[in-house]
Amino acid sequence: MKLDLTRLREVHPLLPESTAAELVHRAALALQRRHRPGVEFTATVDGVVTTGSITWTECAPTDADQLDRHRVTEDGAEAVALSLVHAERGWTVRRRLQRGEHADWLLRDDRQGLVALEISGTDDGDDAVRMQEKLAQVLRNDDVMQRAACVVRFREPRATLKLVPEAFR
Amino acid sequence: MSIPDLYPRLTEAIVHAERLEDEGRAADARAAYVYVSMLEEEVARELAASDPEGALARRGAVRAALKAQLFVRAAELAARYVVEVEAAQRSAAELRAMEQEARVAFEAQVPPDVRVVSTARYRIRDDAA
Repeated sequence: MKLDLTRLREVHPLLPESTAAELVHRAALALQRRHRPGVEFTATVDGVVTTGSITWTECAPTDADQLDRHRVTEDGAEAVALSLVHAERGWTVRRRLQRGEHADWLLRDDRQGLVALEISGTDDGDDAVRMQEKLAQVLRNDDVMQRAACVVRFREPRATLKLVPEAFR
Repeated sequence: MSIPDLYPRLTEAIVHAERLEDEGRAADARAAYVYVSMLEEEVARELAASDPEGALARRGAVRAALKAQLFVRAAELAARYVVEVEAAQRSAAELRAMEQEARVAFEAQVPPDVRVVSTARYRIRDDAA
């Protein structure tokens, strides 16, 4: 698995160019706190661990000076998570969901099924606890058949993607 | 405007409005949510109430109008969408009833007196005998 953040817009054609550029820029800043492009990246998708690499275009570290650190982490996590779900599941963005819909993004799988995805990011916090919170949140979305949560941790870096089992519907 | 045209605009508008909200720029956020509500309404026009994406857009149009503090608009949209949703539910209920009726009728069907032969031997002639 090789995640190339510079291809985010290409793999999600309905993602606006400005939004994609902003998310990728924030991801670069969050990753560059400790890493260089091409760093090893671990993804755990429904319990299956895969190791690969993640790459991006380097940006000036001073760009982060004007931005809220928490915002950079959260937005950066969105870029990484959207890149991961496309690489691992073939999901593509339909639209952003408003707050209150219990998910951040509405996506479509390769069989035209809809997926509600909740994303969260942390720099070096407890991603397992965060995952439980996000799964509980997305569980409340009952519009679509598939619901999932993705938590990105930038320290390693790594990401975990979990689907809500159908039994919870 | 088609959905592939509307969705990127909508995503951009939601991200922008939420950012303003997070920055505490209440007046700017309210203005941004007016645009979100209008775009959600456009999406709702394109998609049926029974479509999950159509349902999301209807809720989104009302939700954004509330955030924009356009309470009359929110109430009017909500009232209109309730009618559409109820009509879709009625339609679904009628279809379910018709499905049930068809199944019952099929089960109760009297076996035909005439034996049906899957391959018949005959020839179609163009001219009358």
